[in-house]
Amino acid sequence: MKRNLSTTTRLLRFNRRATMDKANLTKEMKQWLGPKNILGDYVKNPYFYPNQNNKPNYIQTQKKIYGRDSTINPFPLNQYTKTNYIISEDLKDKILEDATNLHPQEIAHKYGINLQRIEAIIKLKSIEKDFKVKDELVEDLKRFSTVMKNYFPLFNHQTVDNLTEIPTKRINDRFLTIEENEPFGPVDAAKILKLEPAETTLKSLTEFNLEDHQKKQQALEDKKVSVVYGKKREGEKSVFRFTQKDVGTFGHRYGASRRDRKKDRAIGFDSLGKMIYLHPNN
Amino acid sequence: MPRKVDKVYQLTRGQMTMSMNKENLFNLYRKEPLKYIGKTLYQQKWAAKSETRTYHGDHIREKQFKKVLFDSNLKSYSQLDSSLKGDNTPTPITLQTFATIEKRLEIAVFRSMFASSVRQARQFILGGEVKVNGVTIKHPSFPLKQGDVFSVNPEKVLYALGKSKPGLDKSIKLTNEIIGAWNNYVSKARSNPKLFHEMKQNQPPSFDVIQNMEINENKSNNQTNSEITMKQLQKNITRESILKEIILIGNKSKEPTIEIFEKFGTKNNSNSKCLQIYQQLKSINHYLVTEPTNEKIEQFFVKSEEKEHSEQLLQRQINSILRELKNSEYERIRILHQEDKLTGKFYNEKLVNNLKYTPKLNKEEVSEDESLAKVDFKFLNNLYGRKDPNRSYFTPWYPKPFIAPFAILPSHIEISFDTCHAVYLRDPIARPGHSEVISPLPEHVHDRTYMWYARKGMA
Repeated sequence: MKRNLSTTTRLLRFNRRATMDKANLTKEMKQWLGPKNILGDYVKNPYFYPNQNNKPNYIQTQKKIYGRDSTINPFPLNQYTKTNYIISEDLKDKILEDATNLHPQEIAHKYGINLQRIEAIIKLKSIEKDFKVKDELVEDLKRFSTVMKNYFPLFNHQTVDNLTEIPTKRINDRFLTIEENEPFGPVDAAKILKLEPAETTLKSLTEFNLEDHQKKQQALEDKKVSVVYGKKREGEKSVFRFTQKDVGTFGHRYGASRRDRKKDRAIGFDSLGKMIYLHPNN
Repeated sequence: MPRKVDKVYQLTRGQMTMSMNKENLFNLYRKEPLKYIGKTLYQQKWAAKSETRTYHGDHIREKQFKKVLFDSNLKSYSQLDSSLKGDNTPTPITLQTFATIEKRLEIAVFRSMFASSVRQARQFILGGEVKVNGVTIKHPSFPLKQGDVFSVNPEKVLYALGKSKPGLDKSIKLTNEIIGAWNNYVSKARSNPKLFHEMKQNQPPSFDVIQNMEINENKSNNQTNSEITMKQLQKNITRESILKEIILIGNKSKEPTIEIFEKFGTKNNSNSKCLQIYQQLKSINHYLVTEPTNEKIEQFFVKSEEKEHSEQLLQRQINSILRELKNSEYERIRILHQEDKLTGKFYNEKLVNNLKYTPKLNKEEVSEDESLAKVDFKFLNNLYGRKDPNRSYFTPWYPKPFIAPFAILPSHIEISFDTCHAVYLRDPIARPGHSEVISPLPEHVHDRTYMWYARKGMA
């Protein structure tokens, strides 16, 4: 008897093979792209040129998908991905003007734009001021930027950001949203922050244990290193110096694995952009 | 260096990558959601992982992703505004699985649309075209921090997002094809001017939005220009200027007739009025006829009691006729301007004669010296795509085909297209109903991917 290793049903396997046929696919693609003009452009394809009316032409599927706004959602299958709204040059100039006498936080509140974005706009505008390119590129670069700026949807008063968000690093929040009349005391707070009650913390701070203190002091004294100098003999250039060290805290033990030999060593970059290994001794 | 992408292989696999090519677009168009029927949980997770990893950094080795990049603690967002507590829109938290790769420099360069694919972004970085905070960084994996400013050489950006530049031979061939099409058009128009005119009027608008935009801009510029000239012309017309011109024209011919004053138009008997003025002055041998200087004409119009009675009478008569003439001149200029604006709207047989045949380029001659190519159309003044042959992209710059469906403005990067600079605002996050990590794949696929990587012993 023949053993069937694959758990995929035969029907599914057949379908997959049919959809993966190279000749069919290229033919289908050609059909979808449409006819070429004498210059080789697919002028009849609606996605060949980018729209210039601040309404992006994102891909449309044959079946209409409920809840999808094809000027905002670029992908038919994922409605959580949205394009951002571009800030017009006029608004950017206004922000720059306000920046002379207002704090970025105030500007953020005034226009409903994220604080980080406001700061970035001010920074980029200052870069733009001193920006210089080759004369041959000026016209083309201007054409490029106008095409891009005319493509994305414009930021307006209906599309303001939510300014009360705070990014966190955990899946379980350290922040809790509660109603004003909801009771909330220090014990509840300690639970959320996973802290011990203040009572125990204060107790440990005020109590003074003499024995513990003496032990710690003794340990510090024991740690003091003693240096022994060797005898300088004739013809020797330097004096040998012996330092007291604990076994295991100094040098490498033969055969033990070392950090610098590992494949996923932590890396960083210095001020010149050169890659360096972090913690070479660990 | 990561392996090269085989586009046909990509097509048969039917999975999207971070790239703006047309094969990838077709994949996106025909993409169907992942099916789980008949699959075990392990198979589902495997398929999901395979799909997502193809898009999110397929050039990063799996070992590298698992050991260094994947973090099972996903970043979320906290809502401080308690009034928004009732909003039950789900937060797509599992899309954060790939938030860690978004901070890599290559991905950020692609996301800010300074390169047309991640692989191209890597090339730019390795070629030293990318700077972070003013320092050239040659490591595609450089992790960006909040507030970092990165920039790409504008020439490279224009190359990446622009149409590809045709080679000299291809450009000559295409230019000759354009010339051939033009000559075809001319011969058709000449054989049937009426049909040509109708065709021109009923021409559907082009899909080429950029060309349309430029045509409209030119049109509006021309309109304002002609309006300005019209106003200028009207401003220059005074009774003095008309009188001077009448005398100058009249003096040129021995026996003045109506015909010589045709310049002033035949409406409202303007030309006969002109003749009347000239004859009146000529009959008494007025000093203006012999000396039509500006000063004398001005003197003539000055009203004063000292002048003789006959002189005063003559002045009054001529003045009234000139006033009428001035009004009719104003009207004539306005009509002329309007006709100029409407040129082409009405059928005009003569228009066809303006169309001229253009000789084709000599391929051998031009391929030796590019500057010898002479192309002179309204829409093309140089070899196709080679206005400036020293540039690496199609000149004048034109957007790369099919970039529209892939151009997504990211929320975690602020871009300045004017300077090809961008600021990395923060790591992308997820909030109710929105994920800043850009992904073509749905949440249920990401759920399974997260399950694949977060299982015991993996991370």
